[in-house]
Amino acid sequence: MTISDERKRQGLDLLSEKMTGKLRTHLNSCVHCGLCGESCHYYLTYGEDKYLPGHKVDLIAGIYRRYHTLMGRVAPSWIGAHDLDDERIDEMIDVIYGGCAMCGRCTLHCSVGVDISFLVRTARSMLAAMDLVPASLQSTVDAAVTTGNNMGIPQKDLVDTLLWLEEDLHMEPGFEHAEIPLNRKGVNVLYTLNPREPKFFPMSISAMAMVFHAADESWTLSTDYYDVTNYAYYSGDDGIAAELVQRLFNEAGKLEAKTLVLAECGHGPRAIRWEGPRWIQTPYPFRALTVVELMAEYIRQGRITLDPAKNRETMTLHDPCNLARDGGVIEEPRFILKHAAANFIEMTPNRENNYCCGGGGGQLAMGEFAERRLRVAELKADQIRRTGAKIVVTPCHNCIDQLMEVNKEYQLGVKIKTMAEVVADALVLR
Amino acid sequence: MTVWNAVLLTAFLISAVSSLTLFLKTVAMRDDYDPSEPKGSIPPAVLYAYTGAMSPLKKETANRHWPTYTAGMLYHAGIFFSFFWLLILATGIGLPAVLNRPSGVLLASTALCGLAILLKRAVSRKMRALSHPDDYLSNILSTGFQVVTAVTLLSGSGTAVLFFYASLLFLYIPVSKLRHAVFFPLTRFYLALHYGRRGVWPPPERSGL
Amino acid sequence: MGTIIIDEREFEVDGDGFLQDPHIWDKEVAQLLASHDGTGELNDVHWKVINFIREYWLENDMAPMVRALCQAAGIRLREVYELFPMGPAKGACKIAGLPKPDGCV
Repeated sequence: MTISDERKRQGLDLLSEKMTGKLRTHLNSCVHCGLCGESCHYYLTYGEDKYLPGHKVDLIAGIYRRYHTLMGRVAPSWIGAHDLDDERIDEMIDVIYGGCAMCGRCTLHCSVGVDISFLVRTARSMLAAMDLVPASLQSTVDAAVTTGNNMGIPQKDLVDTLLWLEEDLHMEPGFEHAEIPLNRKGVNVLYTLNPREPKFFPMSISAMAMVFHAADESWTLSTDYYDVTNYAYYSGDDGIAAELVQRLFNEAGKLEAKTLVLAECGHGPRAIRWEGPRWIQTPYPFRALTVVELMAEYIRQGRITLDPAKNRETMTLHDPCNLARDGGVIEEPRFILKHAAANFIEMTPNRENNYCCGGGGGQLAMGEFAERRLRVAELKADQIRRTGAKIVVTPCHNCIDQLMEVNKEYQLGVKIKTMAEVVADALVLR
Repeated sequence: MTVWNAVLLTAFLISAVSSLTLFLKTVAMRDDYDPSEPKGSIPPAVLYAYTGAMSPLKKETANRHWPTYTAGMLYHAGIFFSFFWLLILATGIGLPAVLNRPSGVLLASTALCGLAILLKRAVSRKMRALSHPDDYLSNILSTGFQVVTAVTLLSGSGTAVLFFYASLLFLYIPVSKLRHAVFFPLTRFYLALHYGRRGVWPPPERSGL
Repeated sequence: MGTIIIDEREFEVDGDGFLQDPHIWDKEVAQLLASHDGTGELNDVHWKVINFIREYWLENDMAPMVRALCQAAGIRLREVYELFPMGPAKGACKIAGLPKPDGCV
């Protein structure tokens, strides 16, 4: 691919703009020990040099050395300093977008402590500044920007679906008066959705409505802005990422919500809960937490009662990377499953050491690299198979979609469920 | 003070000032204001970053690579031990001569670890693909430093060669990957800020909530 | 992006197996895609869903909500997932020859 000098300049300028103490530190710390490969599902699958996390670090650190260090200017090849040239850019697109799930597993295990996924995202930001985001990923980002949700759902369609779900809910015994409140002001909980839920998989919305009803929560959904995802986190475009967070922030303000509750998703809660305040440089005046943490609170406070006997089939948990390893939501899902499932079995490794499902890092959206996405998931398939579980529960719709494909591809014969569905199934109404 | 003492001191000062500048410039750089509400507490995470998180049981880069990890640790211990002896010899502080021989043997063996790592880098296809000339020279200087210190201690010969060699090493630190020595503590610190704020570090008690 | 061959017919598809050119789609193609992804022989209810998706897409340039297709085909929500094991997006929409929808699918 031939990239004009002006665009390359934009990429390099972005690197300079982003140069914080943190970035400079991580760019200078890799010692090329080469031990990180065994912590990366891409490298473990393919064994190719290009997937080695240390190599991914070098893709951006080499550019840093070339333009920001003395040795890089006078003796670039000696220290592996590298021009941002067309060849380098092609390599970056292939590996930085197409060969990394930004799952952060290598970061946790790095012998030095280099935040590798942070460097990969910074490299993505450079590519985004050069207008080089893979088309499919960019199209998901664009849909969110122009239509207000990443699937381009018209507001009327959303409302129709929610009303339909509410009607359906009333047919369930015990939920005759359950509600899916829309745009209600001053409630305790403003809930969010992954657009995938109303569009194709709405059972988790009904499930949460049941849980909210059982907990006697005052809650609402917004039909103006509700999207919990933020694919600009994956494309690397901080401007758009901030814009999307700002919209949700404004919506919470408009509805005077006390708590913003983030639906089951990995990167979205990470983007909104952890990166968002930094992107918009404003602390949230409301509490922001994930729905997993909220449901754990309900159980702990006795606001909902669960009967584990209602979920008898053996169940295992897949930890979404952005929720567990980079979001600290680690013990809460286990606490919930202890109360909601009779036969819970851990996969190994788990918690902050869990392997990515293969769909992270925007991989699920990037059809360009779909073949790799399924192949690297063999590790996850083996992990699931070893548990012997019949149900895999995971609090992330992105992981769910990937696991549904993995289930078929590797013939696991399991059911994939959201956390809300498992909790709703175990509810005991008083 | 011999002329070699003077060379060594000069090289050390140049290296120390450059390294300190590198460090302080980085520390003084702006960092993004992060107003997210912390889930965990940062001070224990910082402590954990330099202690528990460094445990080989916690890191696959250690426990999936025991031979390399062990060699690497000994190699680094040897570098610090060589610096210790350099300080003793350069300042003229007398230590009982009986320590020379065991120290020399110890450094010879840690140098072997360094050599093993160098060979791995040169022989393994994966490592060659990841390496730049700087990686080899950085190892050669650090391993050689231990060899020269060992020889000096074992032979009881003059310190001129050691001081010269150490000067080269000092001068190379700030312009090469050896600068990771300067950045390492900062790296751990930034990682602790990240995992600490989010409640990942230190790992909570496993007894539930 | 790639090709798949079903019953000696070759199709250009994207990385996720969605038809590269949605306009080559016809009923025979739909049945081939359904056999390929494990949905199997398409029955009348399948066809109701698929035809609705197809027509909706031709008119609106996007996939319909799952609600709309349940109502149009007169089926309950959970039946959709039984009819199309790969779900409404990677199952039904793919068989109906639509391009891959954006988002977490």
